[in-house]
Amino acid sequence: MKCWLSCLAQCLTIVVVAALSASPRAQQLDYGTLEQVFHEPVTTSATGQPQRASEAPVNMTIVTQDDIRRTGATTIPDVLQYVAGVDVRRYGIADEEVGIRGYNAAYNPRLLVLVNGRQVYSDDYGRVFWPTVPVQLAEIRQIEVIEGPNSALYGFNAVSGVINIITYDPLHDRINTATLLGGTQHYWGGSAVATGQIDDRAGLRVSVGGYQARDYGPANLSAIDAANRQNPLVGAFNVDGRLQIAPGVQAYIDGSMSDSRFAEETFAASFETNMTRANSIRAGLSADTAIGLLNFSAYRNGQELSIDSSAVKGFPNWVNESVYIVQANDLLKLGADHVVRIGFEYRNNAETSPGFIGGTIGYQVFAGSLMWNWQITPSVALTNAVRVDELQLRYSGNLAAGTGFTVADYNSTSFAVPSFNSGLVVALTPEDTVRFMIARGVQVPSLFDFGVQIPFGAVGPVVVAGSPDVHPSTVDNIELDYDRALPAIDSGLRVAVFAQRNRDLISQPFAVPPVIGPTGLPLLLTSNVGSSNAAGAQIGIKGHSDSGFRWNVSYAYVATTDNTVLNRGGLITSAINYANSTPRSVGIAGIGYTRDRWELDLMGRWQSSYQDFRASLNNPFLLEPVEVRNYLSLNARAAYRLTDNFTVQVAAQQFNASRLLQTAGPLVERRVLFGVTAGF
Amino acid sequence: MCRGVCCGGFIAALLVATRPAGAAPPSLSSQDLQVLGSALTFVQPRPAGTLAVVYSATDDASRQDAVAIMTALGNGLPIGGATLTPKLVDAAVLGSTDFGLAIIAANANGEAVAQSVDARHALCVTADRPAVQRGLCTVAINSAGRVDIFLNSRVAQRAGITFATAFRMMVREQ
Repeated sequence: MKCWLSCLAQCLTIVVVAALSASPRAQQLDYGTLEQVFHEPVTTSATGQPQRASEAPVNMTIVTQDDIRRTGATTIPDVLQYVAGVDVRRYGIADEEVGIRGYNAAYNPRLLVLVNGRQVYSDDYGRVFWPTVPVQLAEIRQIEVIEGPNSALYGFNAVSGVINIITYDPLHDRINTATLLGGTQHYWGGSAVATGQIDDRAGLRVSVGGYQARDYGPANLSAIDAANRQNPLVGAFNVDGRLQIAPGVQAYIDGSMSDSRFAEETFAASFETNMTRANSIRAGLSADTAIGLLNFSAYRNGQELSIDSSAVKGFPNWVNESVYIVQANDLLKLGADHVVRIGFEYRNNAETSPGFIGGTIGYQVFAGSLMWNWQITPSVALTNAVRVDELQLRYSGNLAAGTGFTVADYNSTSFAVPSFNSGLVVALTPEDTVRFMIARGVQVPSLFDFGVQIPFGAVGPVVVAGSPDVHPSTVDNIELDYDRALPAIDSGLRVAVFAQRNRDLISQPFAVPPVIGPTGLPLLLTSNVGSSNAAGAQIGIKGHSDSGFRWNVSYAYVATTDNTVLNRGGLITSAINYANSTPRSVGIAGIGYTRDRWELDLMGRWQSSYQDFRASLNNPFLLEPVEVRNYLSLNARAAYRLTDNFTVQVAAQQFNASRLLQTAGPLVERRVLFGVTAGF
Repeated sequence: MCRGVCCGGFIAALLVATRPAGAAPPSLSSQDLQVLGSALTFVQPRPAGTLAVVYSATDDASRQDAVAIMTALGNGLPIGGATLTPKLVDAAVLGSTDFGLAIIAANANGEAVAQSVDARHALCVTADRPAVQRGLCTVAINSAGRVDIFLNSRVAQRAGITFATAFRMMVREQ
């Protein structure tokens, strides 16, 4: 520990000295200007290196601010549902789960979600509380969706994919807008974004927003679940400042707070209402120097969660969580054809809950990473990235009796896990690009997986516990993509095929078969439960015309097979049943038209049937399958610009059906929202 | 001084006025110039003052290309909050001209021009990629279809010009 801190201090010293002593370079990553230069979105999410989206060695979709606005969506998952390969499950107006290429479930722990590179998922289950993500849709420049593992850049949990939400830069982008929305389900919401700048030396962007609504009706739910659900009430505040200290040297600081109450489907397929307060503070420095583009950042995320549910009556129902992350990296161009990125990361998290954990569980991670991009020829580039994460677990508190584990077992647990990404990008012609990628991602057990402690008798005649012995899950992925630009029709075509193997799947303890513990008590223990394979393909085309039309059509297919020890003997205890719980086919289509003051869009999403689960009323440890039949959901939006500053809009979500069974949760209802936006 | 400027302005006006109808498009299009304007925000020191559009007086095609580039530039090349004022410059007198950025028209790249640009520590831009490869100019731009920016880092270093590392990672470099 001391050695690492010493190394970190030395790295920091090098960063500061280099930043101050080297000759200053020009301005750094300014997304907007770079997009103007290259006539396409730019990204750093694939490798950490600034790249044109078309040259990134990953399957990436970039959802722009125009795309976001035209969906008429009020949440980020509602925007993402129109990305091929992304699966969105709607368990409520605020409760949505996002997965990539299948493997979606309540509390999905396989997706890494970031805002400007800062993690916004919770380490408790590795899940994302989407309503607490402190970003207003109007301040998002682009959402970068990477399909497939990318742990070699980001570390744990980037296994199914990565979603990096990039907001406007307060130093370069002047966003001043306010929106008011109201509609069915008693929905009322609004947001405001304001930016202040001092020349090109300093910028500050502030955003605030929130909404309340009546959640979808409980007609499809048990009386217990219906009673556990409360209507959503969500608010968030964010501030983002940047300072140009000198040419090539920038400092930044951002902070956020969010407060939410919303009903959520749990991993046990029952409903509860979460009251969540989250906050973050981050500071960083980047310097373009003779020894490369140096970046340093440090941040803290905090979260206070209080659970309201009949299932946890009698428990201290709160969970506090914090994570500290320090990152430093150097991005260096060597000669004309090589780019190298060296990165270090330190992470320290802790979760405290007397009711669910019996104390505090946490871990620290030391990680080192190396990325090398080699432009072999003007049309061929090879990128290799490796990363090693070393995790050291710790626990303090009172372990549940009957597991056989001691506090010393926890505090002596550590492991190191490597991950890698390799991508070959070949520009066959100016219009044709082929990408071949192989990768290994790593999913670390969540804090709950490691540390839950529920004594015998608390929820039944069984001890429920996490395990320090559970292994990380790994995902090996191989993929071949082909992109074809079709300039004659201003369109782009993408075809992708992939296969992946998931080893050492991790199951939370409630779902595994019970065993007899060392003291003779029945024991449910977090376990590695087997493997799962997936293979799939995607094809999509997106384009526009000078006359104002735009269109997109895509189809995604994924087939999944499981080989696990779960759900044997006719009893369903686990939602890890990916073969049945993944819709195999998803089709997406959209058409839009902009003329004069009008903006009109129509979007549709169809998906095939799949199996979801709800908690059994007779036995809290059992699940009942719910067959979700294939369905089509159509959305439309019309907007009219009254003046240069004011726009009115109406958006209809799922206008083709008043109610649809989309999950085992409540029926998703048709929504109509009216809004007015002022921009200055 | 005034006499020189007036004389130069008169020649420029004359050249623009005598540009034949239906002439070939400029080697650097309006779109290329927009790309250039945006790209210059990643250059240090940032060009200021006069933008010299350099042509070879002994080559009609070069002269016509320079005039077409002048037309495409209009009132100037905006960079951030500033605007570079364009001026037609005969390559033969470039060494005695004050400028912050040089756009080299067709058939005008050469050793003498490169030396004059270096002496001013100015950035040199052209559509002639082979000239950049030969070290006669700093940057070649072509935005017809996919945007292609080619940078000769040795020439940039020679002129004391640096590009943002992020920008260098997104262009082809020699």
